[in-house]
Amino acid sequence: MNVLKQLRAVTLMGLRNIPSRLGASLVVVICMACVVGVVISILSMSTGFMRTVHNTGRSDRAIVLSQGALFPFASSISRDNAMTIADAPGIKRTSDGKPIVSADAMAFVAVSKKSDGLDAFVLLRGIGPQGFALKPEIKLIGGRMFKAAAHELIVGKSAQAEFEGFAVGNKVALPDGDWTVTGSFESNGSAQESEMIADSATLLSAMRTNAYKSMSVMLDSPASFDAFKTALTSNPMLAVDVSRETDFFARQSKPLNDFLTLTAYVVGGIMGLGAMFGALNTMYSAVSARTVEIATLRAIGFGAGAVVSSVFAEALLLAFVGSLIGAALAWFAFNGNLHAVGGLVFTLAVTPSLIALGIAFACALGFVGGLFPAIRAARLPVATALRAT
Amino acid sequence: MTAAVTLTNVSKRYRRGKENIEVLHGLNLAVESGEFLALMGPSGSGKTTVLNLIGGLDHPDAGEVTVAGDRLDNLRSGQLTKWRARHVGFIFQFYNLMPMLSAERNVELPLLLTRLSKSERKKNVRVALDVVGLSDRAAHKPSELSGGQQQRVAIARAIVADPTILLCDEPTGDLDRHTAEEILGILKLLNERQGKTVIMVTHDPKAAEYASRRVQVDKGQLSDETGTA
Amino acid sequence: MAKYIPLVWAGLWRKPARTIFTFCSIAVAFVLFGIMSGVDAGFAHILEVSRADRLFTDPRFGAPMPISFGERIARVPGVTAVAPRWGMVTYYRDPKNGMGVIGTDERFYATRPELSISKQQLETLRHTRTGAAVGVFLAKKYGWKVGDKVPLQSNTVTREGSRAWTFDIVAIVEDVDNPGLEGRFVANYEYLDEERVANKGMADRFILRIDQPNRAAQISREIDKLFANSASPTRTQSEKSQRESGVQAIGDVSFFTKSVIGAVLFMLLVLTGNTMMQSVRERIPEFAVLKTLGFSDKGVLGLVLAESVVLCALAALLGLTVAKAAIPLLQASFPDLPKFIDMPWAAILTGFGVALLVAFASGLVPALRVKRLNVVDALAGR
Repeated sequence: MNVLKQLRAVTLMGLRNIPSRLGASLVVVICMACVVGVVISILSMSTGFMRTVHNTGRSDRAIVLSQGALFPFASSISRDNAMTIADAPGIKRTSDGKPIVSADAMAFVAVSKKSDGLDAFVLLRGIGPQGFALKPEIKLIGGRMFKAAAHELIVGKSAQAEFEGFAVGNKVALPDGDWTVTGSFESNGSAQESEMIADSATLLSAMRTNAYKSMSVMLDSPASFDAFKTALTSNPMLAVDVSRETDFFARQSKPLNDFLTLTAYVVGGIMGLGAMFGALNTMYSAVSARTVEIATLRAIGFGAGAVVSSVFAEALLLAFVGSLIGAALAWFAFNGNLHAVGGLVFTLAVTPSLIALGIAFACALGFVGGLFPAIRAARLPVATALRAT
Repeated sequence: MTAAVTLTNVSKRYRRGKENIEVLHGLNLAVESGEFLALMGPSGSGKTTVLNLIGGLDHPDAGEVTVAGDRLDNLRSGQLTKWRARHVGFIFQFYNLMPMLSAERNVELPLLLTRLSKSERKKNVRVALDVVGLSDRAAHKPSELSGGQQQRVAIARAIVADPTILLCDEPTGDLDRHTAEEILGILKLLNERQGKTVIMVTHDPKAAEYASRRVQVDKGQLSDETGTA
Repeated sequence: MAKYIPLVWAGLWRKPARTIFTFCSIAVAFVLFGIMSGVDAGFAHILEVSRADRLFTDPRFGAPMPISFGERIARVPGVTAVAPRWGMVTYYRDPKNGMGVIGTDERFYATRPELSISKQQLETLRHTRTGAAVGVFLAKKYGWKVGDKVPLQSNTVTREGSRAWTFDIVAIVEDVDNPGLEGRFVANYEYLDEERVANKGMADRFILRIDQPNRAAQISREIDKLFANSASPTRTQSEKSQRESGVQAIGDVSFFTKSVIGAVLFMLLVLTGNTMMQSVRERIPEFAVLKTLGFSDKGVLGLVLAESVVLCALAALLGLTVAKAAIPLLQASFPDLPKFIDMPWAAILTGFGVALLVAFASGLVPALRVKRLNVVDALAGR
């Protein structure tokens, strides 16, 4: 019998044998399900978060903050500087020659979360006249657009879903009186959906301040970035930091992403280790239980390779089944759930690649868990094993 | 001499699958104190059942069982266990030692149930091992001992708490001729020198010769070796 | 009872491989249990030491508040101390070494009694225009000592158009609630306000101390009412509720840690239960022999439970010890955070208790099996 046929025969024998070793086999399945379920759940936060971040930035847009500002709210750009920046080379212009830029004013509004009633802050961003040309991904999905001079704003769909009090027609308390929510928008799953948008000039005057917080520009092309940046940083009148949007958001999201990834590794690693010992235990006892059977097979003429592989095959199969269960549990429990972290609302995402990762992880554990027992099975001294009653 | 063991009109039924098999019916047996009795008979005749009844491991369905003056059929399970620890020592065909314990610790097991101190237990274990001639192997595990040696440890375990009755179920069944004779010799010694009542189930006529009396158990009833029921 | 230990021990080592693997699984599970409990306890501790007698008045919409608000706040009944604050973002030598400079005055320390600074040091701070009091953690990180001159770079421009701000260290400060972790850089508001060009006379927060913590919500509302119609409406809340919201901003930590603990314990129960079941099943004849020797039904039940307990307790002890050793390492990898992971000895006892529960839960069914076994059948191999 050739090797593959042998392997198939031995493996099938072993698998048919599983019902008599049901308890121990279930242990592997359950352990793997737990580990994979937990790891995928943690990483679904990071995946969902990074997805939102990824959808937010474009490589042909740049963001300008005052020098040294760690985040937009700490930055300050005067009206004059905003005009200077708008004149820089590399900026795309509309058909009538206006630069596609937006100098943004910002305010934070305290709100309660619908999920647990706790506080959070939502960003109200006042955008310039070219704001919508700059961010074509913003699409109105309900109500109507705000009127520039009025105290009106539109709210992103994630913010509307996660926080109280943002239905169209509601009033939001802001400086200088209440503002009305006139509509809601979506923007391709980006972070913008957690924000509110209004007119920058109106917001500035309501806040009684003259300085913008940040400025975003649309570049002619991604390659124009360098010229744009050099023009600004070499200007002695300006003290600004210029970044591509994609880089900027990647930097902003790095701490949380790192934290989540580290947590997933630590928790997953430790649990995986525990599960692996469980797998080792099961496979060892499986080999023990089948000692006579294995020795008989060897005596008949089945090769050691087939025996070893059948032990692995069994371990991998159990791990695989367990990982599917764990992934399914994580998917049912968490996929699509809204999660709010520091004002950013995103959906947890159990993606196919995450599931694949979980399966791969479990199979790796199963492999290691099956390794030593498999070697043991191959090394069984045939004669002594056959004598055992 | 008062009888050490009296079985009066004892019946015992077992359920095998859907059937009720009557293993013993109306069996009568009297064993004198200090006797060495051999219970013989074909497989399935119920001789092990008789042993189990005498040892308080089982209750009869009908009849009375009196051992060392106590009515066993009246005792509840918990009382039976305590009684057994005091009065009976068991010896099995396959020794039934704890594989992970040394010979010493195996022999010590029955004494854990008593109030003896650690040093007193140690002393009694020494004595028991001396009697069976295995003092030099006290620290060995069963896997390091031969069949005959293991059976000797089992005997030491059976006598360490000084029971009046020894119940042996095919004690030489797994041993070669020479070793079997050694074991039977020890049993005879315990019977003659220490006055222990020994009841031994065996199918080996040569082993039965060591006994002072032989009875046949057949189809649930007794007959002595001369053959009539 | 100790006399039964050799028997219990022997039972565990019937199949060494199985015992060792199960032991390792349990130990590993308890390492995770220890860490998760530590994180849970750590965050609870953060909230615990947050004070309900300390309030923060922040701008409601982000724009800074005039410093004159401080006097009006001080007149609200129940307020015992008010300190203005302006936070300036700076870095030391390298933009990576970011630091928040807190411009305030000595009233800051009146609102934060847990910070240890002497009257003399406060005097020196007041009289040294460019003086600064730095926390022990910062001092240790950059090797600063009292008397050092520290130049910081900021995005805030001075009157002369420079972005360099120099401070003289007059005190090194410790936080009694979070030893070794105090990382604030406190300087004089006057110096900041004089030198800066923008936001003159403004504060971005007021820190207050009140006399009765249970009136915190009421006092907060009164303060906010004062400024509701001004150019800078305020939002006042206690440190405790702010921390609660802040911790929530990271996500529901307690839910997360408890879920992981739940998954781990479930996994453990399954694993250990299976091992005990297997182990007992293989040794039925041995337990039968023990019964013939005179061990009672309850006695053998006790032996099985004892095995389970010994296995779980020893493994848990190892796991919890490793967790306790690992925790300082975890804390150190997040130097910016306050003490968020805490494992006092009480936590080890709790972990031990959980181990015992697991031992009983997983050992119960096999123990009952052994208690009920029929000696005659078992000896006969049925």
